[in-house]
Amino acid sequence: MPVPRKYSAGSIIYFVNDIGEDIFVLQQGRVVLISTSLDHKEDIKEDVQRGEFFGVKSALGHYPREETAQVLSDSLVLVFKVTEFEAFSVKNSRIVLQMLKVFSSQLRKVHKSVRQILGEDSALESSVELMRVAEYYYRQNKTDHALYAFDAYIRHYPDGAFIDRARRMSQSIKKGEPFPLDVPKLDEEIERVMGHTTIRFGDNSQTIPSANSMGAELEPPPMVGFDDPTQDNDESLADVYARGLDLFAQSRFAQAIEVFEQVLQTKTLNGDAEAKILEKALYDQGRSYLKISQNDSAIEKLSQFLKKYPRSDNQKKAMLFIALAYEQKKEIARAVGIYEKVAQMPPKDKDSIQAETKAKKLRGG
Amino acid sequence: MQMGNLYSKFGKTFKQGEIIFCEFEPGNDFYLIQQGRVRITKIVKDKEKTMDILGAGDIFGEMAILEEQPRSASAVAVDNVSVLHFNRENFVSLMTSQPQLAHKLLVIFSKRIYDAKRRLMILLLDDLQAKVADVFLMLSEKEPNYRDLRQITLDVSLDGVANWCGEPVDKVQQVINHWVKVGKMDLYVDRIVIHNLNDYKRIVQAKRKTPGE
Repeated sequence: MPVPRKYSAGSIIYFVNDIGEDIFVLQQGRVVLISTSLDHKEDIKEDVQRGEFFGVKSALGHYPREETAQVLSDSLVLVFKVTEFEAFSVKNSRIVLQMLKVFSSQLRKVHKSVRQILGEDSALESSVELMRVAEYYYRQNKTDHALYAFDAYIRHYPDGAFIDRARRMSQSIKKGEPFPLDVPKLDEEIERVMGHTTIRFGDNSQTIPSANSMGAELEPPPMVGFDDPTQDNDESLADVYARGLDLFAQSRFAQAIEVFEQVLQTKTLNGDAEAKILEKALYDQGRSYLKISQNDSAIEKLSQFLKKYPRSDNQKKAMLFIALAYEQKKEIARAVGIYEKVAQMPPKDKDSIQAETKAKKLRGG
Repeated sequence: MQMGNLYSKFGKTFKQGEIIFCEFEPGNDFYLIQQGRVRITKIVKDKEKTMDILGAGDIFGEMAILEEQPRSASAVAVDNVSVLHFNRENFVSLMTSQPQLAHKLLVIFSKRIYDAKRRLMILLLDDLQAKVADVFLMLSEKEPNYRDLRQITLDVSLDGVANWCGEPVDKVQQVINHWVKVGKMDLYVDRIVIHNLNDYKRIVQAKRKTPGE
């Protein structure tokens, strides 16, 4: 339950850069949010309206507060923990929808500024990049992906500079032909059309300097160390994990376990996405052990998973697999206990029903 | 609205290996995975890289609800996949019928806004050294014990740093070469080792003056 909290005039609810997981609603009084513009050239002061939420983004996104919340006159504030806010938002979708609108307009504004600074507003460039992706797939023999991408070009840019090329490539894929070698290189075509070569990847942009611009004023070549030539440095953590999944899909579980282990040994993580990959790797490693009936290892890994990621969407499934492992180990009483637990866990889905059936069957036998 | 009802209206299936959308393709729809896994990939330096693998309950392509923008990555079905797909028009009916999803989006947007603002802060600096230093700080801030960190290894290449700065690679290279030469950092093909983060905090602070100073 959110708690009401009183603040007297002049006090501070939180400071900029504080870490905090509380979310606030102003009920009475006056609170002002003080922040600095992104270029740090000016202060921004914003009054919180009565009934308005504040501190939401930093609490939900787990990052430092972006502003200082100062109390101007004695105030009453309702304080939510993140989990309480989640429960509240599920019941008040209209309020969440409003917040989403505000958030998305903020996000759009920031993105627009980023694009303006980078000069990335041209549809011409995205169309060129789409061609580049399409031809990459074609050269890699991923013809269905290539066909999709060429057709996307034809659909979205019917007057595009490369429309004839896209049509021709699309035709030649449909005829089952390999990448045509008698067409000029795409880079040459781009050079011809745009006057320069630009490479863009996602929201990052860079112009490759020509040989001439890397002139004599440059310092010596970069110090680049290849301290472990055996390692494929180009493989990202997600790539390694994907390799594990592929092995899993091919029922090569022992190899999959090794690859997942490689993921789990990673020491430095690059943000939330990679932390998430670790979570998945541990879960999938547990599942792999179960597949080859190494039940003790399966139980160990999946229990680790339950403990480490209590909020994971795979909690229920992991418990179900642990029960299966105990069942395979013929520790029936334990298996039944866990199946019963799983059967109770909301929502009532396929897994609940499977657990219930298993528990019944094992109790009966 | 019940899930079954939603599915009949907004459901779509993709076969194993099928492409759902392609990097740089303009897009309007975003997706909620019902079943199966989806691989998110990008072509970086003539190599397809897996950025993430998503499963049931995950959302992807959500930036499309803001405005029709080219996709920043491709999405490919790993298994036979079923999804619900939405766009700006039917967004409200989805959000009111699936409040957990609305909350999930709120969390995603909170993070996205922060990341985008953080990047913009780098781009708004008018000194190249400070920009490069601030990229190091931004990447280090993701570490949970950032405030006490001195040395750190960042999984980023020279090109990556130049991308974050929005500056040409050769210019960024000059700055980094200098720091390598004076022993403040090491540069490898795929990573950078920072010896003392405080050096870089000072560089940024000096250039990012707070108002009134």
